[in-house]
Amino acid sequence: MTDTVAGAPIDIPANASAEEQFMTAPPADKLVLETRKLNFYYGTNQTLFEVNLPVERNKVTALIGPSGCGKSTLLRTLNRIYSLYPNQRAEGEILFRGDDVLSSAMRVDLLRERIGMVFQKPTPFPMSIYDNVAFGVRLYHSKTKAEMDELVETSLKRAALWEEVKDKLNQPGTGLSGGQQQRLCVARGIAVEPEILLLDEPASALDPISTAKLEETLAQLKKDFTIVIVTHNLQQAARLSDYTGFMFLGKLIEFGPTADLFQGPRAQRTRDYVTGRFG
Amino acid sequence: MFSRSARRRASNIVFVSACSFATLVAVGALALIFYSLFWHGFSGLNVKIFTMDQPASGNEGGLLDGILGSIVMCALGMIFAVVVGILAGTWLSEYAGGSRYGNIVRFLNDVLLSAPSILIGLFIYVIMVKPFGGFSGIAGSAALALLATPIVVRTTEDMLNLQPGALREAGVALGASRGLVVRQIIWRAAQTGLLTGGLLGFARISGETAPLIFTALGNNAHIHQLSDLTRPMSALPLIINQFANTAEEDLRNLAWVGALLISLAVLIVNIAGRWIAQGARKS
Repeated sequence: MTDTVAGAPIDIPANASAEEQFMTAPPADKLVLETRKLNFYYGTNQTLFEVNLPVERNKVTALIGPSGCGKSTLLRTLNRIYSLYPNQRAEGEILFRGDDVLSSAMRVDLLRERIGMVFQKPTPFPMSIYDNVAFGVRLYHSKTKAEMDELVETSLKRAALWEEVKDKLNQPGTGLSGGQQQRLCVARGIAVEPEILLLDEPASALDPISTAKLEETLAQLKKDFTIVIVTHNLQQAARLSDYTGFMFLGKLIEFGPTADLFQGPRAQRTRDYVTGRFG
Repeated sequence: MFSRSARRRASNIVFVSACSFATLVAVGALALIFYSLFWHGFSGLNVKIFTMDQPASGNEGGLLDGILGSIVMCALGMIFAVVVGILAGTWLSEYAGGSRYGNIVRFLNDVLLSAPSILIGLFIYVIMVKPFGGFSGIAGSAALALLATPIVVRTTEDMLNLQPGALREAGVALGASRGLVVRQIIWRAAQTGLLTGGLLGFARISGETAPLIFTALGNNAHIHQLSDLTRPMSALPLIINQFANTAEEDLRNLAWVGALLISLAVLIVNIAGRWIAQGARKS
């Protein structure tokens, strides 16, 4: 990828195919995370093709696209969670503050302390609400009871869950409602103070009211964290994000400021998708 | 239209009746077993059963040596089976996956699972009893351990496989190692299932007789049950096996009491296990 002038649109030929990539990248000095020519394989099946995704610090970047387009796969490369599965493999570069995430020298535990993740379905651990939030923190820091109490409270407040659970912190996290569980997972994720939060369709298993509440929470978190969110809900992307990338068949077709992408998409595919003609 | 719907309804009635009948047969058999156990065994239950060793015919006696021997050997066998079984099941589920080596181990475990218990007894006889000069409680424990382990392995693997992959990913995504995620999250999420595996193993070995004949042999001095694992050891199933085949009615009655005790023990351990698991889930 060539260096980009701030805000200037540049077109990068994706690869040999006829598809072109339309990029309006954020200013290079504001990037915190960036993929360069990222390819991804499930076994021999290639699912990402030469993806160049820029992520600006303290902004929300949304990834949209039809099912199976690779948006979740792309997200799962950013904290190398895919490496749990021996047949999955990424090639190319992912730069996080200048270090290559894909390098074997990268300490994944420390990487994941800096890059948190919330999943599609709520994943409360089989322990108390308190211990759920404290779980990640205990991996890295030894804190006194008072410090931990405070951190748990702050994290739950930031995830807008405190008022609902403050009297039952010792009850199991699995006993909460789906929406509460998901906010618990957000609290658990932000308790370790990551720089980036990866959200993989965090609202797709939730009802509309819980979704609204979660979005409110995420809107608050925008101030403190860099967020990358995968969503199949276009309105959600439009409401929440500063930048949006449209993916199709494993390629990042178009990337730019959210308003531009929704109102004046340059690629035909993007236009068809955001106007609801397919997907 | 009408005939098709009538036919469908008739076939439904036949199917439901067949299912109900089959259930009745299975539960009925179980009820009959318990009925005859209580009928023959209950009247023989008294304090002497728990305070005196097995008698010679015509003398007073109880089952204390058998009870102690069964408890000692089942406990030792289960400690081994639970530790090895849970670790091996965890390896199969979390680390081996569908690898070649994993599949071989899984296959061998399934073979062991269905191996006749008398073969297990003979195996321990060959590797422990003969070389070390005699029947012993430790050999009996080893035979029972070998019987219970594959059950625990199998159940552990199945129960861990039921845990959602997202739960593992969520732990790893916080920076925890695979091992920590397994120990602190996955085992805890599967604890009821793991307990079930242990209970199944215990239920299997508590009444096993054939493997003990070749290993523990039997012994009627109860002090050895507790103090010396290297000597022949008594056990309830061995006493039942011996007394049930005698002509003396008092000894046959003791055998019934022993059978009742084993069944009650399995029942109580099962109920207690479920109760503990429920309590753990609530807290």
